[in-house]
Amino acid sequence: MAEIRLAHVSKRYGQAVALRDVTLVVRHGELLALLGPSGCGKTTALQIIAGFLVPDEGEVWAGDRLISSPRAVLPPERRRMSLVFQSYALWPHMTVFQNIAFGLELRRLPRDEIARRVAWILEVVNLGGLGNRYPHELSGGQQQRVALARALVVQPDTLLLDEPLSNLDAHLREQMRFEIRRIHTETGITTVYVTHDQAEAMVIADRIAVMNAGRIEQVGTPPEIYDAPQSHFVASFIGQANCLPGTLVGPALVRCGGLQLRAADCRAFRPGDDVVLCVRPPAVRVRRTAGAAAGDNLTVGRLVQRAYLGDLEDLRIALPGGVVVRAFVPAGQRYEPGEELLVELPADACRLVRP
Amino acid sequence: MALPASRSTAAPSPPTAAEAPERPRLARARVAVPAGLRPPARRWTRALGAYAYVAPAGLLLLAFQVYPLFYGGYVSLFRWGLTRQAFLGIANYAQVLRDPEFWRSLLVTVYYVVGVVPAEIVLGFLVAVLLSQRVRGRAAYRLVYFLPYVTSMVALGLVWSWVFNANFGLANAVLRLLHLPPQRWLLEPRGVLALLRGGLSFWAGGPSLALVCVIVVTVWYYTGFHAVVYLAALAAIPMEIHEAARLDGARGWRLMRSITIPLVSPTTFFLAVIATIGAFQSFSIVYTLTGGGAAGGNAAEAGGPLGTTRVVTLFIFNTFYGEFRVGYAMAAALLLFVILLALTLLQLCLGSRRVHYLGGAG
Repeated sequence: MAEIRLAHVSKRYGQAVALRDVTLVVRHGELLALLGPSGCGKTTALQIIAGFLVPDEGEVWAGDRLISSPRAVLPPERRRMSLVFQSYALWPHMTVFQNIAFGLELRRLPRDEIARRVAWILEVVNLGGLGNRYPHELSGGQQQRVALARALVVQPDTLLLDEPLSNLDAHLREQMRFEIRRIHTETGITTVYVTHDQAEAMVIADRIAVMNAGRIEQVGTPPEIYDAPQSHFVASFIGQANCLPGTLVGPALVRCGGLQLRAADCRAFRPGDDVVLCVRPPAVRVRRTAGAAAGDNLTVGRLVQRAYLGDLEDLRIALPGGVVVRAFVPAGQRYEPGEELLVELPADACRLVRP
Repeated sequence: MALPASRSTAAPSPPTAAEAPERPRLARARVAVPAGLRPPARRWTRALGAYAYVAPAGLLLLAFQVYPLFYGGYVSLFRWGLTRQAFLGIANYAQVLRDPEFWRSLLVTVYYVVGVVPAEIVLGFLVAVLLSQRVRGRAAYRLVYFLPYVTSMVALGLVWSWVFNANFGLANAVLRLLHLPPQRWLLEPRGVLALLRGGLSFWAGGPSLALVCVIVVTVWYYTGFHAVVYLAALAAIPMEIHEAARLDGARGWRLMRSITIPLVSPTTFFLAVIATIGAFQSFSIVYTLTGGGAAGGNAAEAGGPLGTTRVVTLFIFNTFYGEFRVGYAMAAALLLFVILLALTLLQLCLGSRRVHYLGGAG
């Protein structure tokens, strides 16, 4: 196994900067997801790790081996890495068996050993018995498993996956997330997984590195990323979030428009700093104005819009000062647009991030 | 209204006014067509338009491909000199098949095709691989390699005939520089195998040096075309296909043999078929170099030194223009057509199984 380290890696394409001073560590045996919108540099980072691109600045280490720098690059075939491409990149003129066995043949393994390993990996990915099929005779999900099997059978130190599920339909994607997680747990290979799908990252990854505009915004476990975003981008990109711009006016006290709200953990900021207060819609509590009112950050708002989501209802509520928040409430409350509602933004759910 | 329980063979009597419910009468709808719009055309009028578009090319094909084919077939059934003479039936064909000159020209053609087609394909592929690398001046290299193909074949033939001139040519000048004996090149009837190793009979000596010169010029002429076609095929292979192989450890020749060559197999198949057809039909370059050119003489003697570059097309040409045996020449031409058709079908049958398409179903 290997630890992968990127140290101050930058990459430019002419005037466009694809990666800016990226520093990242992928620990032994962990599955780290590079998550971000299109064009954020995650695939560029993966290509640099794989050795297909040369960094303009910085270094890439695999364990104690320097594998990429602006002056020297270890060729991809000598990095002991495997890559699963978005398009799977299966060789159409080879059967499933031949696709998977190709890397083993290049390593000059005996034929019976090759056959044994291919049979084993086909069972791991639940494709036993399909060795004689050609890629065009397989479904998208099956092709994806073949690509995964081909990457795993050579027992690499590091596995790289570049949006491997993006060509599958939603149902299959959901199924394959758990499959990939299962296979990673069984093999324990250090894995870097590139995706723009946050649900995928949350299910699959041990840790997530959220990227934006060539930079890493935050690295953490899925709960850390979701519950404690450290930037406006992370808060709004991961899940739904109400992001209210404001100013820190006192200890844990933020003025947002016409509201004065308490927030959790303001240690990173000083009074007078511009901040963004983020609170997740499921954390927002809503009830009718009748009855005693007690709780944090209580205010009265008017329901602007309601959307039925099955188990939940998505409410948009206008608060004083022109602030509009979203809340997810259990279905069946039958709030009507125009109705006055009591809105509570629990202080411990209100996070402050930089604008 | 209840449906009848069974079919009656008798025509049903119309319901009386008391039995039948009042049904609304449906008038045939007549939609007024707004001014400026035409009503929808009938199917045959739409087809007429399509045929009108196809007609010019179709007429040209009919006039210059289909009609000559059938008319040639008609002519081949007669003894035909300057005018039509006796009806011979298939006697011309039988005579062609018994003619040793025809078989010799076929052998020369086979030497020529075997020499030209693999060399064009292999060199074209290698040049394309080189041109697909990121090197400076790549566009200039592409131009240089493609330039022969857009130049007049006759002009090139004349230039090369001077390169291979036994007395003043560049080829012998190079040999002299290397202290090697000069050659007769386009005037050399002995086979290359006989030149390298004596003691072989005339026709066991392989293709003549003159024919080899013609092959070299032909390959030089067509390599650029093949390279351009292969360039497009190589560009169509997604980079990830190669990257995946590289990650597995494939490099250089192994990468090319296992991945690149199979994936350009549709292009190889296509080029093999058209190159074979083209080589069998080759005339201009052979004639320019060894027909009316270096060999001099008249049409009847065209075909290089001792006829060692007389390909089938030259044989037909000689028979037609040199000997004025028009019917006989037509029979030979149609036999060539049949041979080429059979060969092409064989290529299609055998080659198509080995073709792999990027989208699958190879």
